[in-house]
Amino acid sequence: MQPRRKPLLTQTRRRRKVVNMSSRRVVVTGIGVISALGNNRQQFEKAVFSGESGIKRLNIPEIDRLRFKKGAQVSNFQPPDHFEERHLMLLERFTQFALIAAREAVEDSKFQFSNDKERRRTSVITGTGAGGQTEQDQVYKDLYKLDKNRLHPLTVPRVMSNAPTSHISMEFGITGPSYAITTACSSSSHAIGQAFWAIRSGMVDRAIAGGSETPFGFANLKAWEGMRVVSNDECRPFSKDRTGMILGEGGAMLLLETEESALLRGAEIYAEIAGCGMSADAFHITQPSEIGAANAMNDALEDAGITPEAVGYINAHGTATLANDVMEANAIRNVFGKHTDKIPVSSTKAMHGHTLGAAGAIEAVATILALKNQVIPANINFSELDPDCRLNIADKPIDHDFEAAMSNSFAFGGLNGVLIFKRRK
Amino acid sequence: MNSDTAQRTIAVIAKFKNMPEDQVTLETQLKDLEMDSLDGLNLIFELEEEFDILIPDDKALTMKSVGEMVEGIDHLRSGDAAAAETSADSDPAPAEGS
Repeated sequence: MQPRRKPLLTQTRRRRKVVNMSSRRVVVTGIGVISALGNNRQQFEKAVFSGESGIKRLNIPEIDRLRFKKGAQVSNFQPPDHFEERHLMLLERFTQFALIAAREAVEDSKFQFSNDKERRRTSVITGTGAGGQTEQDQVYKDLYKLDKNRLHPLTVPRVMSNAPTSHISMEFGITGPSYAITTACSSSSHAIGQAFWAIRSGMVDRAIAGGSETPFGFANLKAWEGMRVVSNDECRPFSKDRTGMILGEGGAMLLLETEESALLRGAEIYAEIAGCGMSADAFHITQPSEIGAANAMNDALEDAGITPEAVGYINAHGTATLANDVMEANAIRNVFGKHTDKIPVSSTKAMHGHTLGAAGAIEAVATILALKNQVIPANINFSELDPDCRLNIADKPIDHDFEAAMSNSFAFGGLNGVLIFKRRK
Repeated sequence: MNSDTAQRTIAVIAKFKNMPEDQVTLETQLKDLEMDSLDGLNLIFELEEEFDILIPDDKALTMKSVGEMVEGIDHLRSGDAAAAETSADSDPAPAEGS
């Protein structure tokens, strides 16, 4: 029997400082986003508050073989403008989006990693629903259509769901707890929620958290077509004439840190992240449950220590499928009671599409900017309220005085994530 | 109604539900087969494979009985080019959530 080797790290591990959890507030000091609404935060902000749509005719070679023809694709995007060729070879499109968003978030926060301790006390937590679907599609073509017998040697590390996490950690030298979360359409809400809790608990002092998704591989689109949930019309959340979701691609990252750290370095604070709620429906692999959604919303309110009446805006999951929107409206009414009639609700998916694993992060960005600007982004393409979705839908951008906002994410498989942000004056 | 379509549709449903073919008739209501929306999607897929047709989304989710299914499939099998064209561009009726 071999003698047991002493783990190397035990020699350097030190006793952790005991942190009073309740004293640690967590704030957002950096935002990065790339989506069909533009390739940076400024473009996104301009588009999302003027009610622009990023949904257009799909630009893919196989469009004639698809029953739906629209999607929310990132445009005016040339990867070599962002990455050197040697680096680009390692990056699937969803990792490119994640890295671009992470770079923007870090630059936006003006935080500079100055020593190893800071890097060790930082997390990277990213979400994705299906990982590198663009590359995966190319692999299918090479193997089955072109009859190739050899794939690119870096296929595995390019398509793996944690590739964005690892590349962000390498880019900034971040050595704290880092991982990827995959819970379909809740992935990046869960990622941001986990990062928030990790900072609040004292495990780390800051985090880069968010998600990215690239669903426009032909095989993946065909799989979505089979589900019969994708619209060939517009995306019309909560509208009586809605006909389903429109898929989108993109990525968004937040730089989260303790309020103490942000104040100490004089950083601009977008908002406080105040609460997160998570739940599982334990019900059905595709049909959503009102109870699971309400549980996550209630938990988020409790975690934030606020009453339902304090919430002045809900960025809904609002996919525009028949089932989600009715379920979500019922769940909101269940949680908010009579206050439901007073809360403006919108789903920004009508503009940037359903970006799946990136949805929670992109919609968190919309929610944070709504709080900061005190403007509710519009639920565009809305014609008439579905009587089964009794919500106060903001069909135009509206100026609104509010202190807290909720962002909902509900995934296939019944896994729910809800985030609450508070205004900073 | 084409008897070949009827017979093959009934055979597909019976196999799908693992039940004797004589228990499935044109009058059988789909709700009585205890199918949820995912079963419905799967059954439509089996029927599309059986007849090599494309069932439009809006039709797929409104059929209530086996007879209506057979009628719809007959229509698609009759080689109605317009129907086939419609099926490729039809508006879907969303069934699921996320």
